[in-house]
Amino acid sequence: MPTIGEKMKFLICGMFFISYSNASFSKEKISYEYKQYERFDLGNLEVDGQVIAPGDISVRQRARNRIKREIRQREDFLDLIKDEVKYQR
Amino acid sequence: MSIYCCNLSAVTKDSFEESSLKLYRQQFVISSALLAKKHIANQSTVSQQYAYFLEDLSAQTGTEIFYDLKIPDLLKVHSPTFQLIAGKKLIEYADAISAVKILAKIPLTHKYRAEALLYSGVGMLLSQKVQEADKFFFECTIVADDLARKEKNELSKRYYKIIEDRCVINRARSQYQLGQYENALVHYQQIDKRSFLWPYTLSEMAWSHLKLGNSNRALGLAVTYKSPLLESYFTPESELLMALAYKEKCLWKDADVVIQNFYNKVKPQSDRILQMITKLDASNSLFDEIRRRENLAQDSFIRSIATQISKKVKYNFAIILQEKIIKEIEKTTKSKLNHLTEALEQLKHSNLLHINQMIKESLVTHLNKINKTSLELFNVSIEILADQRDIEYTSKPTTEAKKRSRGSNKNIPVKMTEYFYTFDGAFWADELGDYSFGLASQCQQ
Repeated sequence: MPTIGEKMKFLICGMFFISYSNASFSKEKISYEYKQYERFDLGNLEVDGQVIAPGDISVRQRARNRIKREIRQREDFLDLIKDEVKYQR
Repeated sequence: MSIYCCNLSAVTKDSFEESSLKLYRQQFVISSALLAKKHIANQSTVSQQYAYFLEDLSAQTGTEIFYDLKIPDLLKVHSPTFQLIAGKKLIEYADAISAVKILAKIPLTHKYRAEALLYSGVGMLLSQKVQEADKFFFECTIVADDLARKEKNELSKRYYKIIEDRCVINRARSQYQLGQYENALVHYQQIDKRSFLWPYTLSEMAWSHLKLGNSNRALGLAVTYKSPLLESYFTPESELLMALAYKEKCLWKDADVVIQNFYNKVKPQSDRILQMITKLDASNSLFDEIRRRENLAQDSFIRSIATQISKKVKYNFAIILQEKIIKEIEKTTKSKLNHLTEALEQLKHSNLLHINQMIKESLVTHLNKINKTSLELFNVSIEILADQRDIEYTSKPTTEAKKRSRGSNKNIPVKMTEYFYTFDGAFWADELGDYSFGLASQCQQ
């Protein structure tokens, strides 16, 4: 037969177990909500550093693309010769 | 036209050989030729005696009727006329070596010798053997001249003169192909201005001048096509030459005007040709239509196309053949030779189809030339824009713009053999072909 002390120990352990399981089942679902709109005023932003780009408007230099179309220069008259022979006789 | 066009088995119970000889004696030459073709196609060899007969027969019918024989059949007949047809057909099939061998069999004194040399030269030129081609063309000019001197018949004289001119022009083309533009011009200048081939040489001469850097002469020659005497010649390439000549001188506005005028003028012409082709494609009345329009003075564009077609030798031979067939049909109808009449009617229809086909081909060629030139002029206009941009980017600003001058003798190199006439907006018949502009280049050095 268990003694009173042993019964108390058993009771305390049982109560601890029941209270722990209740706590774990009752955990609430947390939803995070992000900021939907935020405005940045870049003009007011101040950045520490040194300006290395030139102050005025500049265009980076590159090689100019020249449109080149092939213009036919007659190298022979073979097309005319073929046509002439065809209709000669 | 085909040798299989006519049902001739009902015509005679005799052999085709005998029947053809019999009909020839009775002066039914076209019918005789139809049977002769059947005989040639059916036999493995043709006797020399029959070959002599065929030579006489072809002199009366013309060569056109025998043109549909296959090359192996043509070669069965050992006669210069059939060798000439075979040689020409081989050149069209790009077999120049075989063609030259067959054409060489035509005797030196034969009436077709000069034409055979012309074809041999063409065969060599098409095979890129330019030096050999030039030799054939040179020999052709000598033979044609010699035959013309001996000939008393005016028509035959004219035939030899045309062959001679064709050989001279082809000599010029050979030199052009070799890059010898000065030599090419010397040959072109040998063509008489009265020759019907002369107007065609103008654009070729203009190309030679352009290659030599003499764009003022090129411009003067290209503009000659605008004279009333040469109005019927359809040469869209002359517009390209004008635009290129102006571009060479950096006269971009003038080049642009030429290009715009071309598009404005040619677009409706192109539409009309297309309309004609599609409208008449299904019918065989194209020939009648062209002949009818040929006489319409107000329809100058269609009349000029008709004139160009009528200048083709093959077209004229086909027309002559058609007339001969019609005459023979009348004779066979009178003689109540119904089977022959039926066969000739089939031949007549077949020949008409052939003529229509030639006209259609000619119209399509015109259309293709227009489209090709349009594309080339578009390329020129793009190049002109690029040239102008180049100047804007690269040139140093000058305080004095070049003063535009529209003609000075200083700008035209003139040789001892060349004439020089300034073009003042009016054409004079004796000056045609010798016009030159004297424009100073506007290109910045």
